Amino acid sequence: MSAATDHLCWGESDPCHGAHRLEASGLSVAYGATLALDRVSFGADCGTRLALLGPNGAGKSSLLKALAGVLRPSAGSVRWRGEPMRKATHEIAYLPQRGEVDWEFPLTVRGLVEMGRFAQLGHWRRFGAHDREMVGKALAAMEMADLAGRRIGELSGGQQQRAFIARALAQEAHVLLLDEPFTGLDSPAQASLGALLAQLASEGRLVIASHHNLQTAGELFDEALLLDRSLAAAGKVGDVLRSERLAAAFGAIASPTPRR
Amino acid sequence: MISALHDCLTLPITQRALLACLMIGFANGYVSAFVVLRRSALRVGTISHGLLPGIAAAVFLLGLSQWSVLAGAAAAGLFVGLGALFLAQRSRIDQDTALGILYTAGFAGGLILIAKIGIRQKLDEWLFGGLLGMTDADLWIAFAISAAAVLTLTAFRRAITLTLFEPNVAASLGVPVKALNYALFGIVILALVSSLQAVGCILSVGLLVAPAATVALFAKDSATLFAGGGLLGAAGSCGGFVLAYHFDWPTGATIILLLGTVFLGAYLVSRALNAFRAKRPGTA
Repeated sequence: MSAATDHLCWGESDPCHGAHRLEASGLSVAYGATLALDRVSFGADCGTRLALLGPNGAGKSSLLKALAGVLRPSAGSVRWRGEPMRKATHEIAYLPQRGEVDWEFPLTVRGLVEMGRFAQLGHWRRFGAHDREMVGKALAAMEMADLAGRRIGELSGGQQQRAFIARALAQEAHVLLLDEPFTGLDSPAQASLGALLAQLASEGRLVIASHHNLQTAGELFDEALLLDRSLAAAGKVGDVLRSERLAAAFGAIASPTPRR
Repeated sequence: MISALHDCLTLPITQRALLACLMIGFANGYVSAFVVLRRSALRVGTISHGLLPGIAAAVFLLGLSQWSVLAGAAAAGLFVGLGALFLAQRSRIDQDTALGILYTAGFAGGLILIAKIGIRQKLDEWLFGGLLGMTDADLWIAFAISAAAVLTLTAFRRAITLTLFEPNVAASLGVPVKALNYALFGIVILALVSSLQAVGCILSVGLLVAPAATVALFAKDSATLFAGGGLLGAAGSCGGFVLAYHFDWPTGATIILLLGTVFLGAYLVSRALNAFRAKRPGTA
């Protein structure tokens, strides 16, 4: 990737490793009577790649959506740089699972990336030269400038993921929340996305992604949270993967419990 | 045909109808982009049928006038549409199921009410449209509704497109997705009420789907869908009106048939275009 020369953490002039912290405390999410997430507390600094590990139904997606402000938590709070998260929506980019996106929607790659500027422009501010520049930078950084005129449905899986990351870059997002970004990608595309996330983090962003593949988690992430509705383990990704809680977490969910 | 066009443009009664076609057609075509993007054509169809009982009830309570008809239709549309949305959000029943119950029960009640209060002769007009019976007041109502729908959709286009494409991303950026959905539903219902006059409640869904569906065969982005849908809706409504005048066909039915035919033609053209592109290597 060429973007290392062109610092992409546009919101900050100084390198901001570890200077900004995401803090979740006592976060619970409920769907009706079912508790999907039970009093999860953790902190993460920008500049790191944090994996949310756990089997299906462990609450990975719910945690991401609660962090993104998509789901209202039934209890607990999320703070970013000491302020409530909802005051910083423009700094947070949520990237949905590829399977949840309507790829037939009439939208070009450029159109998708331009959507990122909504965070800065709101409803009515004019789309100006600076916005065009940001969109151009984001497309170039993701090596998607040539594909800008394509309909999003015509992209490959890896390109679709990069198009969404370009949207986050155009948004000048500081925190990226990705739901299962590696699912369904072939291994070259996985490797390239892995390098990309490493670069995004090295530029000072906080990258948080749900991930269900324990084999690849170690090389793709710095830190990890192990979820089984509540927080089972947290720390360096290697430590979490060696944790004795790992088998228990996966076993606990594998046993017949009601689906959410 | 030329003389029919000439008549339509010079006679006051047809002038008025044509003006109504232009406004109602444009507004409905514009809103049809939302209906197509939201993939809710069938839902809108059920709501349009749900207008009938509202009209009957309003006529029963307030007497027969343009205002009572409009008010009744709007109230019924809001009741059925928002009621279904509300039920779906608060129970195990999904929105389509709730709509199915609400609109058939409502339609049945409306038919009984109409039979009982003896306004059967007006029934045809509500079911199939009555462009030639338009008064100045009707025209103003059509204008107000069309302007409100088009302006609202335009003013909030960014948030609406974002929400239609990916509601979770929209929510993460602070768009009040739920409130927006309610508001958009309200606009669809307003558009339906305005098209009642043109094509009647049975066919109104055609005007709220066909224009943007036709444009969607070619459009690369949603902005084209809105503008193109509006233009096609206006052109189709005016063209259908002139055709109906010339052949002495029912107006509403002619408009919808014309829009349907245009869609079919556009589909065949788009197929041919795709086949042509596929034959030439090197172009996507």
